[in-house]
Amino acid sequence: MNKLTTYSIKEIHKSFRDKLLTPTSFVDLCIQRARQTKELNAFINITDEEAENHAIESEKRVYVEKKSKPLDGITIAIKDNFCTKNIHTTCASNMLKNFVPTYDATVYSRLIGSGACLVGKSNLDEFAMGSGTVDSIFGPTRNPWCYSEDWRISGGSSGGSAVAVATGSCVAGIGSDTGGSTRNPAALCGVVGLKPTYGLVSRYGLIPLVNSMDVPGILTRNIDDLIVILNCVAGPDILDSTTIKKDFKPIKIIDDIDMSKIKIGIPSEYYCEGMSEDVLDVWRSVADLLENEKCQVCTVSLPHTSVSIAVYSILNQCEVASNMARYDGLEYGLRASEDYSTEELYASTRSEGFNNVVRSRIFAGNYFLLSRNYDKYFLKALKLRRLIADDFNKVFHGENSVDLLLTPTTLSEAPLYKDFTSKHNRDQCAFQDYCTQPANMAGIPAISVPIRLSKNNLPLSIQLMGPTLSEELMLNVAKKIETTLTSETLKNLNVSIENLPQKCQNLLQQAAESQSVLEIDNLDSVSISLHRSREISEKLQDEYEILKLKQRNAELQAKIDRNNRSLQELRKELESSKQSLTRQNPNPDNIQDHIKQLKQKLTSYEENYEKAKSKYAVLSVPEAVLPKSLISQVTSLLALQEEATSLKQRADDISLMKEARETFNRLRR
Amino acid sequence: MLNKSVISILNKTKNVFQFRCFSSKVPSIPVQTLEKKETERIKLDTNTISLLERLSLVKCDTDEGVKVLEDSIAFANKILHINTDKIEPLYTVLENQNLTLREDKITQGNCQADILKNAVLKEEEYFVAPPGNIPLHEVQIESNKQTKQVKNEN
Repeated sequence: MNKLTTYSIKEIHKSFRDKLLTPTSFVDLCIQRARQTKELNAFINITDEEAENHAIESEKRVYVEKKSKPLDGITIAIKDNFCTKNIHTTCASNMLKNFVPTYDATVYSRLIGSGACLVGKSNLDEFAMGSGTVDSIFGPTRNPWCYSEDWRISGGSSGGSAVAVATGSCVAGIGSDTGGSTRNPAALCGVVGLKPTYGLVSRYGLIPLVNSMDVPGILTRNIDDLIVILNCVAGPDILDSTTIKKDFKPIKIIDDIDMSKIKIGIPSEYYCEGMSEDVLDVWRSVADLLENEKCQVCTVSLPHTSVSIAVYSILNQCEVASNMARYDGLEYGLRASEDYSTEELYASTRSEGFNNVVRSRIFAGNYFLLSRNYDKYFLKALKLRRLIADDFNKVFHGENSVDLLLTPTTLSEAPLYKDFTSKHNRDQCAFQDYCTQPANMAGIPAISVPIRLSKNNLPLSIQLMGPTLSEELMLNVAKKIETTLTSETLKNLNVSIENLPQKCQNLLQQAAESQSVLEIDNLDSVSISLHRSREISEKLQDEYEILKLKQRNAELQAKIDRNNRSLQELRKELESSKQSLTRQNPNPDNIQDHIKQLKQKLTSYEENYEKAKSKYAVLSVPEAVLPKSLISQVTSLLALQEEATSLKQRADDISLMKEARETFNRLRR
Repeated sequence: MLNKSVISILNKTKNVFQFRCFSSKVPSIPVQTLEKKETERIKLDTNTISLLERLSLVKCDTDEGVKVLEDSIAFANKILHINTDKIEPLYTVLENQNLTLREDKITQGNCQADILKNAVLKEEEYFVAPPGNIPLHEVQIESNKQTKQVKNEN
């Protein structure tokens, strides 16, 4: 069962939580799908290494750190005219075939910063100049809706991103939109494509085509995903001076939006020669659908629409001529082998590096910019551009203003490759971009929403346009259209099963039965048991961890108690010793003073004694005066002294004798 | 059974009727374009083409290239008749917004290796260019002469 093409970001994140999918397994599935659909040529370069690294980081955040980001595990494709550090960025041109940027485009770095995983760099017309993704050095991209010998184009120039999203190789694609390059392939491949307000999303790192009109575009399979992506990439960027400085308020879907307050304008000038009946029919049915939803729908006029495409073509070629001047082969990009002169090197490099579409636009642009033609063409076109922008201003802000405009996106379903290439690129752009480029001229937001299939089973879309920074309202109405159509389709499906012939019903029942049987069979018993045992082991692991922690906790508590007790004992001891000390006199505190006092006393006594002694020595005392006891003591003392000397003499004699005996003994021996 | 199917068909048609009950506001005829209808044939002289080659620094294009250029000019000419008196040119849609001034501080640098990384030819830390001051067409005239000489020799 492969649901890659039906998963929304919300569902993917739910399956991450339920562990039906993990970021790495989902990214693997997407890369596998990108490989399977290689024939469609959506990717210039599948970046599996980056995707894997991003997925592993996402997985860590989701399961280990438990701090997931809004795009964790969400796969993206980036059009190959956005710079990606250390990943080739070719613009599908020989000129930049070997160019490896040293920095990231803001859009890309914000997406990766939000957790997205890069599946690959997607195909485009060379330097995004085209509306079919047929003029790429890597070959054309094919439409996944009709792929046989007579295959159809994907639309362009962001055809690679549109096909990658439509086939389920990624959840969201980033394109660029200069004259409809995001909305056109979105319409032809049946996905949602948004061109935001000029300046809402940073152009830093987007290799420029027409600076005053370029905006990064977003392609997804549904409106909800688109809002998530837009909320991640939009907002002021210090690296792009043309971003709108006002802080970006994230867009929300209002569930109970009051449609009766919304005014929808149908600009009559958007029905031009060459518009197919299928497209008109879809346009009408969506107008009716909105009226059914109680919107106020009215016809409005944007009188200068029909000249817009010619004005756009002049401005485009002028800015291209100026922008392409940077490719000279010296600093980066292709360098021809010519070395006769600098100009010769420039000229041969540029002739080898650019295809004929780019070269012819540079030529025409330089013609319009010649000093004799500057006013006639370039300034004239800029003045007409103001008239075109003023038309929108009047419709959105003037009398009887409307909130949104409803128009077709393309003039027909996806054309056959052989029909498309029978005309020159310039003529094709002048035809295919009719409904889309006015929004770029005025810098207003526009979105292409797929509605239904044509008679040839090819997607058909309509376009909503709104005033500057009206993304929230526009996306809410687009969401309303989406939900209404989905419920209607489901209702129709329910009705039709009953009405089907008996045989069909039987077949359907059989299919349903076999599917249910298949599903059980499909589930590999080994993998089920593995999955279960993994769950159990994870649970056990958790429990074990908890037990370990508890054990440690108890040990620590015991230690703390013991320490507390010994502390108390120590405290008690201290207390008692203190008490005993206070009871003692002298106090240990002033014992030194006490000693000093005693010493002083002692010295004074000694002095007194000395004085008395000297006094008494001077006096000669007659024996008779002396007390009797003293005399007797003196005599006894003298007797004792005599005794002591006699004893000493005896001791000497004895020792002498001993010595003599010893010497005698020695001699005898 | 029959009744059931009839009812469901009725339901279906009711849906369809409900869906189509509004007179659609989508126009029923294509718009008349403001572009000039007739296309004049543009013919560029060789001087202009060689001037454009010099300016564009793209080598001499084929006849087909010249035709595409002439078509582009013819397409542009279709809008020249529209009156734009007293209209100011619209250079950027952000004309009513101010550019921010950032603080006068160095925010980048030490990126010499990065800048040189993508150059095909470099010497030490320099880009390398062939001799300058030689206009493009001298070379082509010379090479034309050379080819003529080669032909003559043949």
